[in-house]
Amino acid sequence: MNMRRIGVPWVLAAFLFAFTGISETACAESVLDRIEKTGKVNIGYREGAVPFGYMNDKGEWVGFDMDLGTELVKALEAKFNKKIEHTKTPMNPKNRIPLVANGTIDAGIGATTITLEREGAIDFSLPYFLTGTRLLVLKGSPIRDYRDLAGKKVGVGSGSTANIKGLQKAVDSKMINPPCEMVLFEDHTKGFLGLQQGKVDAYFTDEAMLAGMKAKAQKPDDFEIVGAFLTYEPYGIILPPDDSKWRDFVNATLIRMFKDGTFEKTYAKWFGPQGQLLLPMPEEYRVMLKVLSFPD
Amino acid sequence: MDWGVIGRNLEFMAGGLLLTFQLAGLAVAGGLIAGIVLGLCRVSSLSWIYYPASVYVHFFRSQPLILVIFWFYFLVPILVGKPLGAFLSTVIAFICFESAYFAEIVRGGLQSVSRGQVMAAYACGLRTLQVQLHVVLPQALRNMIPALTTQAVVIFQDTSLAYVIGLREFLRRVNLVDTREMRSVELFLFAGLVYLILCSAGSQLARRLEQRRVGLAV
Amino acid sequence: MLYYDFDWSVLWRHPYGGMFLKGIWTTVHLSLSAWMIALLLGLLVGLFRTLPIRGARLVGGAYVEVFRNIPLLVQLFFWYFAAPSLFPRDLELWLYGNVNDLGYWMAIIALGTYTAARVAEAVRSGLLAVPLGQYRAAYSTGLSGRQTYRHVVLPYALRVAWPLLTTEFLTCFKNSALAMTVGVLETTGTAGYIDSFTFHGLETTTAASLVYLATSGAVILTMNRIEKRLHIPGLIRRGA
Repeated sequence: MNMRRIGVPWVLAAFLFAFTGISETACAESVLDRIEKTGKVNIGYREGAVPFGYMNDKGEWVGFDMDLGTELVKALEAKFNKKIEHTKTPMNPKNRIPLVANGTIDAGIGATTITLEREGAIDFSLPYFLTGTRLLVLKGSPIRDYRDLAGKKVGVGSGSTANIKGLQKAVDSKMINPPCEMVLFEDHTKGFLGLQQGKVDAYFTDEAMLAGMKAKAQKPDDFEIVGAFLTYEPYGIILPPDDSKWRDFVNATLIRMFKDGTFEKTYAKWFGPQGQLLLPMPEEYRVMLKVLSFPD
Repeated sequence: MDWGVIGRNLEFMAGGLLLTFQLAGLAVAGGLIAGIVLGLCRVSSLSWIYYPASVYVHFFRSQPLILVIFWFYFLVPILVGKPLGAFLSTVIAFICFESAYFAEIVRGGLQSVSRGQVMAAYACGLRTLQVQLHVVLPQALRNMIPALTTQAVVIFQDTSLAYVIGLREFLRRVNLVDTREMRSVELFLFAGLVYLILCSAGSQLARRLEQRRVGLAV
Repeated sequence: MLYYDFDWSVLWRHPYGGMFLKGIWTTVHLSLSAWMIALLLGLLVGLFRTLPIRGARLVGGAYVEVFRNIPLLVQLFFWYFAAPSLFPRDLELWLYGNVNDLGYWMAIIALGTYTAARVAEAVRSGLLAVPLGQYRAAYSTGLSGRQTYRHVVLPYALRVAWPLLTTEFLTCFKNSALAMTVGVLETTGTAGYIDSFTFHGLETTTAASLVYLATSGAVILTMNRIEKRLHIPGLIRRGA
């Protein structure tokens, strides 16, 4: 290769690349208007979060969140009085926020904890789910509580920043001392695979998710969920920032579902006695839904 | 070992293979066309054509494909203000990335055509672009066929990277089955075997073409 | 362009600046470790493919065929998700319990063995470029077969293979980004990781791209300089 010829392109490439980052603000139309115009909505769901969004035994993509999304599409169809095409895009804890922020998906329904930090990049709907973080371990494991994690390996979802921060806080406050090693997994199902193989001693995330992993295991009785709630995790639907028209519509749909019983029916379908896993609604959750059932 | 897991999920995984082929086909076709244009630019004597093309080729050849895929799926939509969707953004990422590699193959092929051909073409009164398009390129392409086939096999393997953005091609589906069935050994051996058979066939073809080319030249 | 708040300080602000540097450093030692494996194994396999022993050629050929025709990502997943379960359960558990950063080590193995197949091809092409006369001359001066390879054939072949090896090293360096899929926070993975905390992916990914660009540039310039000094007069030109 000729050296003189190579030097110049490299420098130019670096410059060209650096300047792609010049920002401009464009006024965007509301997602709601766009849905009306195009008749299409793109919603992101999880692939590895039982029972929020996952692959069932037949290889079908199903879940609690997907049912909520379907209700949302129904509400859109009722509003615009026409068929709305429902595109489902897979997302994971790591890419769900970028995907909403860049407009690939119009809403992300994927067991996402509402945090103030995330509010800086995107917006959230009202909370629709309430759970808290606990630990999943093999039955008979010496790990009973967070203190027992000292020096052990703990699996976490690599984009579950609320979880990672919660655990980090426990380490920083010397609650877990010596610190545990965090092993990152792309999605919770991968982490659960790791727990079963023995790659990690415990898996740390929201109880609802842990219960889902346990329920879907080949031998659910081999696992147990231990520890008190380390943090509370209210879930919201991820929405594009500064689009109050679309956000209002999503919120109104949720409130209507809370009030007319659709939400409870959907909850029972997945978390009730006949559902995929038994997770009775905690009292706090019930109160939360009641508070959010705003009058017409 | 429980090889039944393959049979139970064969249909689901085969559906992914279809997407893998689509992706590879579009990437090869688009990458080759863009690569030919870039390759022609790379042998140009005009600096305003030569340098931008060289910058492009060197830039993309320095980047990991996985990063390029991220760029197009997550970041380019922010810059252009319009989402592309998983499939389209992956296809564009592949075309942009692979065209840089095709360009170098094309450049090598163009340079392999003897000077005498070029001079003869000029002597017939053809213009630069005509010489390249009608005389040099057809001969070069014939010489490049083995290298292009090899690159197509590489691209076929590269499509597995679409996994990272959740596109349900073959490898993604194998992973989805794995998280449900917990049969990593069987599933990944199976996935490896499928790629091995398909890519070996492709490599074999490339080798055969190369032998024929060398045979013809002699 | 959509509204986007640029904040380049995520690249150096605590704790992200440290994370990013650590990510770059991980890319460096991960790819160098893999390269060591690739070079040693590749040299061996490449030699095997040119030996006048049928069995050795078959083994070498099979190695290259298998490792070149399966995507690196599939191989990586195999090493990380499947390979440990092939060991006896006790060993598997010992591995999980005592090896920190299993993903890191498996990425080194996967990347190393994968790149070895490509190195082997480069080495083979170098070996095939050694004229028969060189062997004969070496033997006639009384060198043994081993000495011939060690002092005459290999140095010659490696000098011929040098440009190819440079390309393969860069490929190995870039491919190390795949380690992010098994939870290793190297440059690309760290860019995404910081993004999930700060939502400034555009800045972190730009920085990651520049890291690869700068490294490739630096390696190519250095290697070209070395290549000139290693150049065997009259040889490569004739081949081109």
